[in-house]
Amino acid sequence: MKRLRALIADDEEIMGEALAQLLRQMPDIEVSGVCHDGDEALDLIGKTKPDIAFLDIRMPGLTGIEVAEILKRKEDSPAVVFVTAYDEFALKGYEVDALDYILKPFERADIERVLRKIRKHRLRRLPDVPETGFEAAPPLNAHPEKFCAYDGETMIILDSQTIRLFYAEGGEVFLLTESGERFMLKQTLQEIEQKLDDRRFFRCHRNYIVNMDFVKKITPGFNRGYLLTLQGEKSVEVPVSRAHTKALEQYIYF
Amino acid sequence: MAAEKGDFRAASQHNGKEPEVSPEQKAKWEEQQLLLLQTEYRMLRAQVNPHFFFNTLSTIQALIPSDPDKAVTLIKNLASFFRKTLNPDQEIVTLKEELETVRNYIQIEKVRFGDRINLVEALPAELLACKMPVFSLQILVENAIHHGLSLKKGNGRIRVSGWIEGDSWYLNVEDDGVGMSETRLEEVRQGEAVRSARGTGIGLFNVRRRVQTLYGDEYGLKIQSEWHKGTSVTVRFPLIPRKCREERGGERGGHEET
Repeated sequence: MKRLRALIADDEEIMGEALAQLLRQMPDIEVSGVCHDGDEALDLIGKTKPDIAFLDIRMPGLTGIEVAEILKRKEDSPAVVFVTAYDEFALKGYEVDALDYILKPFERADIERVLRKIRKHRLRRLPDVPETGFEAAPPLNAHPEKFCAYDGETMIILDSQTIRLFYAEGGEVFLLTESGERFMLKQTLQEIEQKLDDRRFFRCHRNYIVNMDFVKKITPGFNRGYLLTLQGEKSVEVPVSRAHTKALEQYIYF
Repeated sequence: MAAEKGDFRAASQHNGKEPEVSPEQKAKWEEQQLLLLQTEYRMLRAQVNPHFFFNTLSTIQALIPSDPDKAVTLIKNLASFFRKTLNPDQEIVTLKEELETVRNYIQIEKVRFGDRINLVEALPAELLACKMPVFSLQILVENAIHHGLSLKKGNGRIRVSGWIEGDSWYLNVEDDGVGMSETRLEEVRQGEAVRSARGTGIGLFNVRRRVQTLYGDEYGLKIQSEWHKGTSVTVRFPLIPRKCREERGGERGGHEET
């Protein structure tokens, strides 16, 4: 397995060092740096290109959340893990793709949990060339063409081309087909996003992934975002949140 | 000091006009108000900052392998802090007693923040016996750290000073932390005057509410702040508190069974 390089940003030296100690005990992790404020974190991430950034939320300069929001708009940014003593961003409903977060005080098991998740995520995302040792199996069937949805006990097999939309609602995940049928799924949106071919599917909002083949109209939406109108049996409107508007340019030449 | 007084009163909730009511209704209404205030007062007193609690726990955990003696000291300091704050035996304390709580608190925070936090006391000896609602100073110092110094790069300073003017005494807490923008300051002033749903200014609301409940609407606090410069909060207390109010305040404290 490739060693993952981790950067730590925590304004409390004791805490930063404690996390570094824990990470150094893990065989497949290398601590590439420890810094103490948000500006420094952003600078070091740009210079040292770590695979993971452990970010405290409340820090002098940029907050951990602000750093994550900037990273999101950049190419090959590290996976972000927030380290916080208090559930701050959950309270504020921030729209940031944190792969996970760790609550302080943390223990080794918490770190192992997020690392497992990051490895899984990375394996799917990029076919890493293994440096040494045993070879990682190539990701099989990275983008399946068929999706399995549940109608009670029955599993319905759907062709991804016929799926207009995946969305989260009230803690459940659904898909909406071309003909207007709705099915519940067992995966999270994040998991689905990883399986989908991102040349066709676009995560336009925390709660939505759209099939761009169905998008026929774009109108300005709330808070400098957009509204996509999806064609089909009955047209559907889907918001593009501000954080995702930039990525829309990868699909549409404006 | 007329202008100053005006400022301190500004936060009180009187809107001028009062509706016409019968004396009986008014008496009943006042009694209900008093009950409400007593309940609210107890709740205000019991507020503990969750950030502080969880952060200190994780600092202790981090110290256990690297510096166990320091971890033990920190646990002792935290215990004595919570002994005072979770179940205070008095509602009204002297400035001297309040300072002890604050020093205890600063000792804990200095383990986390090191030289980024420095407390400077500039209090004339004659003020030390002055009375105040418990944790008034503590809340102001907590605010100075949480909103001011902990977000500042480099070292900072909290200065606690006090003085006497006429029949009042004043307590000032000033920090050289990140300060507030004008908009933010306005939000905090609003939150301080009326309890806001978002919790902005809740600590200041807490202090002002208790000061005014105990001593009257002419007392209270004044906030000044400048972005990147720091924040200063001044509280005005009576030198000789109105007797009945103080007794009422005293009665409420002390003998609660929990």
